[in-house]
Amino acid sequence: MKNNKEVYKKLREEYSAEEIANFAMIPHETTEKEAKISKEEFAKLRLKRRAEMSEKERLLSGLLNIKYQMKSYVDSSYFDTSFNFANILGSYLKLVDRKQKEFSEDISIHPSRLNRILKGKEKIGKKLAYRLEGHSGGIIPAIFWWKLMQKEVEQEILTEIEMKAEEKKQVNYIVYKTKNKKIA
Amino acid sequence: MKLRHRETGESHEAIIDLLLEEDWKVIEKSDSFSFNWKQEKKRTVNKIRLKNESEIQGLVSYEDIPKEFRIHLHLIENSQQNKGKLKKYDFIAGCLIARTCEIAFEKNYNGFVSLEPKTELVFLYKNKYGFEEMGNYLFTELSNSERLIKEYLTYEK
Repeated sequence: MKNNKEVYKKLREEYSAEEIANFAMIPHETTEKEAKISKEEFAKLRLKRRAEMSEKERLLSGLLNIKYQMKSYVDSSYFDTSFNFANILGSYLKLVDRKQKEFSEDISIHPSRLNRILKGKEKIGKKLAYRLEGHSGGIIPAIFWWKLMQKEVEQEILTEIEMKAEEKKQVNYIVYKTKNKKIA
Repeated sequence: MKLRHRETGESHEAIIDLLLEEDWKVIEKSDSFSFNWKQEKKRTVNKIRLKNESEIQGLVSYEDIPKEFRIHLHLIENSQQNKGKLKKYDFIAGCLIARTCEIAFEKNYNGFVSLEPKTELVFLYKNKYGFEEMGNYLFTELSNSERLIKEYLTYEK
């Protein structure tokens, strides 16, 4: 089996460097000693860069971290009760360093409503999702907040057996009656 | 994310997921890939395919380096039919890079993705993807990583 250097040499006979850059990303081949030195030097530079990030960069990084964690969760097929809307909004407030009162003023909602949302006692509507997107400067899109909320609602529908039974008592007319209870 | 059919210009929904054991058997038997992907088994290897197809259009191998808060890209290669002027689909490598940027944000690494490319290709990667130099490596982070995600994975329209 050919090594990367030999494969690259062969590819260069057929393609230009630009064409190769469009279809491959190929590692630099060095001696073990050189690679070790390079790696150690880079580790130092990387950690220095992270330590020297500006406040604005940290904020952007934190917002994008929340955004992509949300995306990964809403795209997945599992439910995690700790990754709920209230907790994520709480993490958001912590990241952007806003007290509940300040934040309710920021997005023009009553503090008691925000408090109910943060306690998981109230769901958000589309309008609030839009305001949350606006508050992050568009970094975390409304659709992500909305999907996070909807995933929670989905889980509730699947697990709220008592409430489902209770609400069904309020139905006065059933259009289709089946003997097979599994269908109902 | 979408791959563009070069001839028709049509976009096709694509998916990136982990390479499975059965995929290794296919790769080892086929001549779709030029590099020795077997030696990438020690790293995480992802594949990109069209949504309703199993054919692998491209591969990426990377390493998660938590101590340095980064994902290190090791190797990317499009399948044979996606190389050169007559390639079948566009955006394969871009999607694979963008997905690693996304992972680097999820892990709170500031979207930091590094690579140590062949010297001859450094300028091209900088130019095409906005990578910057740091020591002997290239890297992308923050706004540039987010730009790559938006450009290639396009979740928000």
